[in-house]
Amino acid sequence: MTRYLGARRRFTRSLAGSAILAGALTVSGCVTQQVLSYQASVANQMTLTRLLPEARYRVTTGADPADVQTSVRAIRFSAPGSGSWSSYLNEAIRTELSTSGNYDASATATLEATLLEVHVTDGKAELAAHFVVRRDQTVRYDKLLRVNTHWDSEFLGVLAASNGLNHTTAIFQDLLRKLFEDPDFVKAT
Amino acid sequence: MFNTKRTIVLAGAIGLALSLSACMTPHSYVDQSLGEPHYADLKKSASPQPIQLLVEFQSKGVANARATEAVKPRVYEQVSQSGLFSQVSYDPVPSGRKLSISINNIALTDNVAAKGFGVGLTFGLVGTMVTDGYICTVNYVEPKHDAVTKVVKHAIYTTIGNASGPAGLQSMPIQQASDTMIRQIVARSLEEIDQSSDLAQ
Repeated sequence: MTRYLGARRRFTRSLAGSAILAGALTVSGCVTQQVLSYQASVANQMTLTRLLPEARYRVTTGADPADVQTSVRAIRFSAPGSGSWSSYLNEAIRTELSTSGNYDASATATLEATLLEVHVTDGKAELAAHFVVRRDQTVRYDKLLRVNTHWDSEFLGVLAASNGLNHTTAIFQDLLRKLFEDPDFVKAT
Repeated sequence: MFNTKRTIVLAGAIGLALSLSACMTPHSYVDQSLGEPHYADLKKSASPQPIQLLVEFQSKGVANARATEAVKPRVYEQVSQSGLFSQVSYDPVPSGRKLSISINNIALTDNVAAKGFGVGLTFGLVGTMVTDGYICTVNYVEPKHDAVTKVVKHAIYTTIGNASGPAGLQSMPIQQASDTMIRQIVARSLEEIDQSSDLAQ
């Protein structure tokens, strides 16, 4: 009986130890890294030179999508400020259009962007959004655009996270490049 | 700063092999092909014009926001000091002129992690050298004119452990090597743009 009780105590202790370790790992695994504010892309700026110089847009974006996954290994990436990826997309569009001289908060033409999904995992990123251009209540452009990218996963976690961080911001630039390069978008101006 | 990642690969691999030997400080060497800037040699128009400056730093072709943020003010200062433009701005200028400077850091040495691992296993007795390449693409855009594009390449060599650097090059800390590389590659790019376009027109 004594032997049984001793074995049970050891088993209970080992379970408790495992639980504490798992708990500690879970807690220590929840590291969140905010991406930096959006920066205009040189390639996007070169593309935007195709727009009419007098073209001006204001920008609206919808709510955050339900389909968001932005983690590489133990690091979760979050949008800056409020943490909203839709707000980040809004900032991205305004930054690009302001830098090219095509943004005006009181313009009659509106570029509406609704973010549909944000996926960043180790070695892969995917982003989709719905873009609508309205001018004088008329829809001039209406498309769902999607971009994805792949890269080699790094053995070292810190490098994998660093690559993930770069690709998280870069894929927003890629999505906007797809929009700005679209001849239908250029025509809509 | 920008070959920091490559150094982390080396250092990380070394650390995986052993937690050891503080004597393995990395040494960096800037390639001597470009040399220091000579702004006095630029054509310097009598009527320089305002310019919008766009700057981007990339790692293996992917925009690196953190590095861009660090590089931007230095490039801005250098373009301003060149005397090629009357005013440098991140915002659009009325003439629509733009100067974009994009620097891409690419790896020129394969299997950096494995090399670093070897250095660690031998306590640094077997050293290694890695090379980081930098490609600077500069575009000068002026409405109703053909864009002028120039590409300038540069390199930084970094040694860890018992390895010799390239002959004739001065050893320096990584940060100093990065600063030197940026200064030289941007200056040469500006020289080339100046030689192949009339910035005053």
